[in-house]
Amino acid sequence: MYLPSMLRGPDGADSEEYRPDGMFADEVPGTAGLDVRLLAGGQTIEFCSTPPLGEPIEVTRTVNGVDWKDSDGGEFLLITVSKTYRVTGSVTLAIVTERFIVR
Amino acid sequence: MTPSGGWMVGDALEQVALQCDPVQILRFGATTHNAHRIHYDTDYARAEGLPDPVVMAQLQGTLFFRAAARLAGEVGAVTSVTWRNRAPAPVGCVLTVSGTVTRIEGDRIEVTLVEHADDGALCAEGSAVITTTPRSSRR
Repeated sequence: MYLPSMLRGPDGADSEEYRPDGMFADEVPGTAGLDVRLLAGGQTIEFCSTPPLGEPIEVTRTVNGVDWKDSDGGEFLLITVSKTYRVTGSVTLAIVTERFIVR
Repeated sequence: MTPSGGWMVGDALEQVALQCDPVQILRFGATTHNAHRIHYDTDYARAEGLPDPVVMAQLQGTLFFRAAARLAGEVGAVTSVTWRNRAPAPVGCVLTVSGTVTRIEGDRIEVTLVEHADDGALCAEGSAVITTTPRSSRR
């Protein structure tokens, strides 16, 4: 759970990479610079292989969907993003599908 | 031992509980590089319409994972975990994940999981899959 819970690698990020709300500007695709409220909607994590020690890991992100929702709490966008964690150029470690609520 | 580890459909999982205090929020946020202000800035959280700062979804996910791993007896046996956040989980409340074995096929065990706050609110619900086959033996 540690690997897919990390929002950045060990080096972190520079100050200009953060939104005013403290989130990374590119964490929720398409929301950089927008005055929107972000909430987590849930995740699905498939664990494929044990992360090896000392090997660089790369993350590939893909926007799977953007859906307009209307609930008792009001209207919002549900953005679905998949992340694939791999040892660089090699085996897949985990596949994460994450849902973000954008108001 | 049977392929399902002796578990039967309907069996209840051992509950996993966590009272997440501000210190844990700071530690988890620092470890995962999560600086979202809704997790530690009370004024900001309320400005966003939340009653108080809320526990990170990833931290709630670790409780789901832990419940499944306890059933399996080892963390490597959990092949997937999924959850949907249903309501804010306020920092300071006791979060409890409970679950039930819902399906067994060979060495594959599916469980449903729910997370409640100590006021009874359903904060998240989901499921997990574990296998009783060692990872080194899986194809």
